[in-house]
Amino acid sequence: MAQNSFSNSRRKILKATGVALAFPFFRSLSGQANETKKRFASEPDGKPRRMVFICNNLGLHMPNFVPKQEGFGYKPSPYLKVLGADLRKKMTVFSGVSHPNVDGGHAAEKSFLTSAPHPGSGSFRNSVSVDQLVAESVGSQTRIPSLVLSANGGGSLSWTRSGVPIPGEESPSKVFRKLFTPGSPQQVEEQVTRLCQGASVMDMVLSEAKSLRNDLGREDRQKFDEYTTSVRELEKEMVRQQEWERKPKPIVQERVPDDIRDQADTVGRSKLMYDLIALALQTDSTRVATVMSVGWFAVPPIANVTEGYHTLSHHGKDERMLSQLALIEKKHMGILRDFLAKLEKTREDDDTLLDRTMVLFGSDLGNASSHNTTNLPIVLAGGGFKHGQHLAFDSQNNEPLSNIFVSMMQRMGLPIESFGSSTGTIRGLEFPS
Amino acid sequence: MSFSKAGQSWLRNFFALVGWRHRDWSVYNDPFVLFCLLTLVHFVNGVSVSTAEDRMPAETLAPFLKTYCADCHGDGESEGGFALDLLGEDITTKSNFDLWVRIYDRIDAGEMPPPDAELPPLEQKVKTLATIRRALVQTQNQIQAKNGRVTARRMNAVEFENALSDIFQTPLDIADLLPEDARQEGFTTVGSALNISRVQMESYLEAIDAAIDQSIQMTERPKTQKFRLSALNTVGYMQTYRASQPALPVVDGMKLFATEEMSSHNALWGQYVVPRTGRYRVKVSAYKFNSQDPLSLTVRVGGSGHKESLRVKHRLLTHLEIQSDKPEIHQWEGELLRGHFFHLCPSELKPYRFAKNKVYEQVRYKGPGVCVQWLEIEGPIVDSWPPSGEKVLFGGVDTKVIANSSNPDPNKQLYSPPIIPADPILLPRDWPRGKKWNRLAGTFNEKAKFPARDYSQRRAKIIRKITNGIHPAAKPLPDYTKSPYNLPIGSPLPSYGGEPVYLDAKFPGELVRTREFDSANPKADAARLIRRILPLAFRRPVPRSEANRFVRFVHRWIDEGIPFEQAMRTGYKAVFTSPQFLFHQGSLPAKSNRDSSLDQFALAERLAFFLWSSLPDSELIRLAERGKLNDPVVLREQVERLFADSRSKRFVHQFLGQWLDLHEIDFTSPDTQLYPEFDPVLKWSMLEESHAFFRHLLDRDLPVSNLIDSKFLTINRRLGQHYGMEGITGMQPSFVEISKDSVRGGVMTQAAVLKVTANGSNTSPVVRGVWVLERLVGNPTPPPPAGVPAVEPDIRGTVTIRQQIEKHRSASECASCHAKIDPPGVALESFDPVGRFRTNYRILDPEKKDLKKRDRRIRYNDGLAVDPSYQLSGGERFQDVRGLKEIMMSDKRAIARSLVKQILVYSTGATVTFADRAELEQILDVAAEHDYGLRSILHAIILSDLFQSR
Repeated sequence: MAQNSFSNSRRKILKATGVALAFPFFRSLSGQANETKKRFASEPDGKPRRMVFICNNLGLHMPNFVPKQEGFGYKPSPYLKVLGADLRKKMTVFSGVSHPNVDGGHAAEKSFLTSAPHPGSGSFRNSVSVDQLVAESVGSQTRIPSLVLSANGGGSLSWTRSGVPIPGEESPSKVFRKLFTPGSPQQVEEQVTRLCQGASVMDMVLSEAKSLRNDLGREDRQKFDEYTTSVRELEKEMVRQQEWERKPKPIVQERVPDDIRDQADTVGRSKLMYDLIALALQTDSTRVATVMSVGWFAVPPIANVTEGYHTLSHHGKDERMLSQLALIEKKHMGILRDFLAKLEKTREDDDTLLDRTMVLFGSDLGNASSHNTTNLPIVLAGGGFKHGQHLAFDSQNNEPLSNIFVSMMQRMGLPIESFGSSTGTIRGLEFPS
Repeated sequence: MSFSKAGQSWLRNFFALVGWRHRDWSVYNDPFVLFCLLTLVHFVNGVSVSTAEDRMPAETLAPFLKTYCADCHGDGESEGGFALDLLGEDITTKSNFDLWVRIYDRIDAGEMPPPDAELPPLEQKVKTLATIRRALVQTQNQIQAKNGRVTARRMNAVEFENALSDIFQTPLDIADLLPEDARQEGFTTVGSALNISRVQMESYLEAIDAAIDQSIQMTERPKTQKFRLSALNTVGYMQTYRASQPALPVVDGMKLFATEEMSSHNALWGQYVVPRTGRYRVKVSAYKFNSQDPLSLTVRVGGSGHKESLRVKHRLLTHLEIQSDKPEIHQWEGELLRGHFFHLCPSELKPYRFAKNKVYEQVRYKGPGVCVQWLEIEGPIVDSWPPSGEKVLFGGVDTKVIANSSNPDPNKQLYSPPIIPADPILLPRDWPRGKKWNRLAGTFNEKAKFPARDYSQRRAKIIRKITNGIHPAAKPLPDYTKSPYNLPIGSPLPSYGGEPVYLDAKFPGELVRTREFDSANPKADAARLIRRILPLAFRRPVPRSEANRFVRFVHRWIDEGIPFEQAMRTGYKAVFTSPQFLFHQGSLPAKSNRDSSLDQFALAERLAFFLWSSLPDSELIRLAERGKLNDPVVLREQVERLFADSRSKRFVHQFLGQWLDLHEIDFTSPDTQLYPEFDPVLKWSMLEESHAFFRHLLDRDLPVSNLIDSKFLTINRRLGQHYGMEGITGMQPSFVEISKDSVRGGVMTQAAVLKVTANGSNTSPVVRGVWVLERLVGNPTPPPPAGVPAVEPDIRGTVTIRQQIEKHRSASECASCHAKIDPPGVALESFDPVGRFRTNYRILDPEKKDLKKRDRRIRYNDGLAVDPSYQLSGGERFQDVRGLKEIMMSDKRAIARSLVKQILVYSTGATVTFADRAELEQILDVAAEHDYGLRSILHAIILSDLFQSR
């Protein structure tokens, strides 16, 4: 309602003056945008690469997921069957991987992309997530630095350098509009004004903060620096966004998605997010995306499922519950298949989009029924690796999951040797030369 | 029951480690091993003499440690197998400090050296402990003197919402727009855990805009209207619902047989939509039938899962207790939002559907239910205009009418079917002779051009058009009382129930403004408004120079040609994202006064955030300004005033929500087949019990040992049924005395606590045991070492969790902790995931697993028996939870200590450290004079130095 009246009165002013407002006083702020522009690593072969991380926080029932054989030519497990033979050639299935010292049951989801130890402990402090680290390098090339999505509420996978969670966007339609719905010149101006005002508010409170900071003790100062850093970052981002706001948005055929409000429909809501990511990658609106998919206690709208998803994940080996759980999990694999197939169908120069997009799908739980956080289910698809095998590591002495992240970041063209608890790149996963 | 020595010593262990958080522990095995080895390594290497206060005097301690620790832990003996080079004498580092605290506690508790080893003489032990304590306290005091005890603390999301609500004098709903706050020791009030990110800042901007939107209306004063609605008169979707829905229209109302479910259109009152956000008075006339017991009637606004219902957030208004078979009128008053519509159902009754092939079986249904006669809604009740929020934010600014703007009543936009009062039971007096009368469906047959069929088809078509946006409006349906239908008065409605359908698909939409700001002197207005709000926001007088910075900021935007309101919003955003607003000022240094005590404004603030989860009000600020607030007599009066204020409800809800995890009540939903007794009314009743219980202790200053065991409960009728107690009536909890042998009493056996400590399908003694140690005993245990798999639940009924655990703890590395964790958890096995007392576990009957949903038969059988007897780590045995409580009740000071610690963390926003322990004991000494009454404890805390220093 407020916005309405703004636009009314604003329109009048614009008409009266006949020019777009330029805010001479605040223009000085926009000079800072340039600084963020230069910091990206260009890919060695000149091809843009992307990465997508998907975490299903209730895990997968492992007997249905892990193939019995290792290497190339493994026999697909029931879940991998869902993905189809063609896509299986473009992915590697991992077993025996996990983050060392990441425990604490459901709390482990906080560390899925960070590998920070003991997420369940009272003094836990998280570190930067792999997607955000990559976005620091490649993010400035696209309309949004990274897409952080929360398919079903309940947090995201992405964390800042100061170990602060970045809340996931929950409404696909909102993100869609932000990325693809062209605004009228007036809407653009309004948005620019909003950003400009936001940036100036941050500028204002930053100077207030500076006068307070000098009197602080060590711990306080650290906390306070977190505040000022956040303020400064937001100001910069709002300035950067102002420029993007003026550039035309990509034109897409798809219509604005209808958000699914029913939180029980984890799969449906995840699918909308996958569609959105595919579109964002196709239009090069971002190169990094994460999706957290949370299963709640509500009963999902899937035929023959009568218990809540989370309740089923605590199946206690009960057959009735296991069979219902498999129904849900197969649906999850189904939408993953559709997503990968969509990327595979999209051409970019001589490659498919999937060849240039690394999609890591998995869970922070190896066994949701007992909240076990080792032996995680992990699939890495696309990105042009030498795929098609089941890389089985020691189930007693797991390979660090971060090793896969390091391989992915190197594939992305970043000069990164280690991440979190990594001990190197992942063994057995090769780039084609 | 008498207490043996063993029991006492177990208890001491149980309570001894107050102040120690294992979760802060970075090494997960026995730290004592680590310490001793390390120390020895150190001593052998000839460590430098340490005299400074920030060092542990190792050489003084060496003889003791060498004599009593080395045998087991020295010389390469490393049972736990740790990296030992971490511990040093330099106790300014947190890890070293924490290790020494741990050492202190284990020696103090008599856990180390272990009973079977050579024990030190008491005198020597006391001396050693004193040495360690002195060093620890000195070091910590130095650190705290420099940095303050509390790390810079920002408001959490709830405090932010409350603070803006109180300043704007408007009930705001904005906390959900902010990222979730991290918890430390269970609380979201701890400064060091309350992070800030770019996203956090961005969401503040959004939340402030939303808060302003919710506070101002910019319209003419709305008229107060009164509607009386009949359920027979609501919008229905289709005939099939009517055939199967658990509802029956009768002469004087609508009989409801079952709770709401998806598509329970009979429960929805779609013919009225709340036109304006504001205060409303709601009356319901209803009676029960076919039930000896009272039944509750749930009143919600918003629907149950349909798209339409989700435009505005759902709210539970109340559960009414329908006690009589005769109609009675019930009343509720409170805030409703534009777009809300009503939803009434007896939600204690199970979901039910009539089979579609047995059409209109409702007439013969003999089950219990509630008949709703009518619903009356009066509002918005406007006391003054413009609304308070508008006065705070823009008071005194001239406005003018926006030409051609108006707010049509959304109810005029509703698509309404014709109204025919129905009487399905009796043949209408004017029913045409010779025509067959079907009690519910009139002359229903497949081929006849019956109105209901025609009606619903036409209706469905229109609704499709409206919802698809093809037609912004549709033609009204024909009047079935007239030709060619000539349906007589008394004919049943073709269908009933359903969500509102608007003629205009965009409705209800946002309120349209009919006034806009028209300030003659925007700069003067801006300066006045900003200067007025700043002291409220910063909760202290704001120097002119500081205020001018904010005024200049708004003026600059006005100079840019931005409309007045937008410039003001930008200014308000600067005020409410500034550190002076966001941070607890008591957690920041006072510029003028560098000593560690709180200045008066910071004290006012800490008090208000503690007891109201919000900013101090003008009276507190005034007292602070006059320097009177730290006068103990004045302070006491003020605390009593804050308790008496309705805002103190926030303390009860927030503190219990965090301390007892009651905020997590929705995190799990019990398995519907195993625990069919769970429903929204039961859940609500559980929370009411816990809240009322704590409030009762607070109001009467009753001993906090009641938290462990009490001779009374505060339960309502429903929870009484759940607990197997008779004669309790009403939806509000009442005070009920219980017999001595009752398993209830205290918070541990409250259904809400038992529910939040279980998952949907089973209970775990480990989870509950850890919870009891952490929350009630104040002696948390470390998480399990890495690589030890958790017990995997098995609910197939062949093995109990207890048997599994006993296997688990036979591993020696697990035993030492599980000896403490398991006993309280095993005792609580007598209670299932919904808090019901049980003697046997429930298992699903495999024969019945495929029963249809509408089949109401019980699907579970009794499984293996529960064995709640166990022994404490000291060897003392108990039979069940009653025995456990009796043992715990033997040390009332320990119970109080644990609670005081929790409250100190919650209220001051920092964990209770080693150096705080002496002060904590002083608080307990004061409270002991009042038998550790809850209110006395709170007073003692507020008067303590801990509370009054930063």
